[in-house]
Amino acid sequence: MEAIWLYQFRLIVIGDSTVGKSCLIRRFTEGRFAQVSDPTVGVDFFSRLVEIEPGKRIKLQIWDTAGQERFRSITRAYYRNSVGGLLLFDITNRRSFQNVHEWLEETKVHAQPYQIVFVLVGHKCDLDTQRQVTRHEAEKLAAAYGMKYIETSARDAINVEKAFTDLTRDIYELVKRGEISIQEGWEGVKSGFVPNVVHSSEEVVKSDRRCLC
Amino acid sequence: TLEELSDAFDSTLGRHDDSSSLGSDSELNGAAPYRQTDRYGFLGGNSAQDGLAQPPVELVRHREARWLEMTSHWEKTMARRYKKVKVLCRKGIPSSMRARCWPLLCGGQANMNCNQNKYKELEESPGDPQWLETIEKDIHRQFPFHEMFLSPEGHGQRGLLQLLKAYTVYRPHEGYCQAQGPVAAVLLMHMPAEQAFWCLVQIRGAGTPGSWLPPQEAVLLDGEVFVALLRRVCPKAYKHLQKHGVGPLLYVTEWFLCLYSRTLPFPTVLRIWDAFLSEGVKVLFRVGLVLVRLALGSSEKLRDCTGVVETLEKLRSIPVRLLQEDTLMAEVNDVAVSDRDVARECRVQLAKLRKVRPDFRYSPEQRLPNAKAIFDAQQLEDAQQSRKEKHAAPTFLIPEIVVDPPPQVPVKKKLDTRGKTFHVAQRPTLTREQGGREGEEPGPAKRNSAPYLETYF
Repeated sequence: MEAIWLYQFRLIVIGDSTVGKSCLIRRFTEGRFAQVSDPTVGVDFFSRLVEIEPGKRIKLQIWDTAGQERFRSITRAYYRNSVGGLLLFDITNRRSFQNVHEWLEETKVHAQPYQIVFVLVGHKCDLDTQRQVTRHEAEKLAAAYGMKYIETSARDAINVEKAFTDLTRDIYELVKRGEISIQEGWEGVKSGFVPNVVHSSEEVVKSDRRCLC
Repeated sequence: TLEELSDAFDSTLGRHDDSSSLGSDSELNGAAPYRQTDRYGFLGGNSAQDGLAQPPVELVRHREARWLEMTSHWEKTMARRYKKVKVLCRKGIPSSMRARCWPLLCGGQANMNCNQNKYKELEESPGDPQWLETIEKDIHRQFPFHEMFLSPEGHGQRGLLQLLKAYTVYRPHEGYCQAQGPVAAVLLMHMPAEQAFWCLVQIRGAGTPGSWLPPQEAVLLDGEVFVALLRRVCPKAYKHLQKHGVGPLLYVTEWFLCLYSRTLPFPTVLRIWDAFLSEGVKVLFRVGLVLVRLALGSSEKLRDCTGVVETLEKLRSIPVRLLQEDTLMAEVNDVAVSDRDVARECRVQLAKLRKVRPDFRYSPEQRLPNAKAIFDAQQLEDAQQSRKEKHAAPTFLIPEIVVDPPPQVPVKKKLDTRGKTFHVAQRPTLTREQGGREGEEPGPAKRNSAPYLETYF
């Protein structure tokens, strides 16, 4: 039987090849660390329920994307229907950090007319000795784009839960405040089956969403 | 029970030795606690059980003999008996013969013969360091549980790196696509690097051109073609996918780009490749259509599919028994989708795509429908070439295989080729000396490692 959920959020995980997108999602949805994982070809999907407040569950639909540039024409089709996103870079790989800007530009163009609530994730923080990106500069960059910054490790299960649930909470707040609303023909946020409670924000609103940044 | 099973499996194949002498990987990997591989070389795989359900040895021998006969004069075979080739490919090429047949079918062998030393040259070229770095990151992730690809220093991973690098040098505009890895790896499991390379070139050149090219337009088009075919073949699933907005790229991308090598049980993958290399791209569509039908083909199956994720989950979790090679291939061969259907849909969908996206450049015209068409095209090219050069090298330098008389096994009536073992003329060191055991089967199925070494040409 399908568990009862309040909302369904669609999240997208992006970032350079081999920064650990699939491993992070696997850790979050399956609770284990895969030593090796196939390079993602195209897109993959996962889902998990998250309880943000006692009794209030959000269903997360997580889209994993191929990092390799040539798959962009396929993956970018999924930006539009995502409400939130994790933008990953590898703290031991400077180039993946430098590409963060490019990723954001890419999503901005293709998420139109919607916008994605992003969190910047510095991944593989267990490899602190090989670090090429300081926490400070990553935080600065995140602040410049109005994002939160968090460092995670799928191997050691550091901050993995927090990265996803914080993002989910933020989106939930925006939905509650009416800054993000459910819209027909948009998959980013969907209302679940809610017994006894009616949320005003669940009504279908057809107007454009307001800016979130 | 796993041990019992593998023992039983070993004895049916007459295998008792651990062939670590050939596969340098086993030494490099050290004495791992669990080194049992299945007949395809996967550690801890369960295809060992499948091994018991293999066709009887006599049948395999019979097929081997037929393939030997056909491949020994391949030009004549393809010129006159392609239908026979097609039928035999559908039945499955014996594993000992794949190394010989795949390159012939896809045209890689002819390509290789025309370009002697080319691969060596490509291999020795340093290559673009950026590509090299990208490839290197993926090398340890291709079939990590196949004994050939276990060790970073083993010939599997090193060979794969060289092969993929060579490809980027050969086709710099294509470079390296992450979907190439598994395809190249499967080829390498069966044949030496040079042949594998030319097969890879052919698979992309003639079979599914453009699909690894950067804008991925080929896959976009093929996705649309797939949906159009699905509409006809399985309207129920089509309606469901449309209703929930599950676009084809969500599932066909990996299927088509990796030629199912990461999706299906390995024995089934090999059978699909047998058919694909002989009958061309329509096989890929047919397999996909069967998979969708198996997952979503009835109201009962669709009942609890309430959204995109549930639907995709269903597609991902088709019961393994339905994916067994013979079961699945029987269905695949029954799908009423012809070359002409695919070509027609391609035209229709291409016109539609170009209307929506004027920048859509990809054109599938170069796609050759099957092995016969590839063969004819190569013959034609050859003829034109030789008119220019007068003394052209013959395209088909097919290595000779020496057939030994059978070691006194009671021979059944029909074919006198039954029960024969064969070995390779140029590499006598690799023939098995202890042969003659009943039920012994030549070919890689018997070896624990480096399967292709057995059929070195």
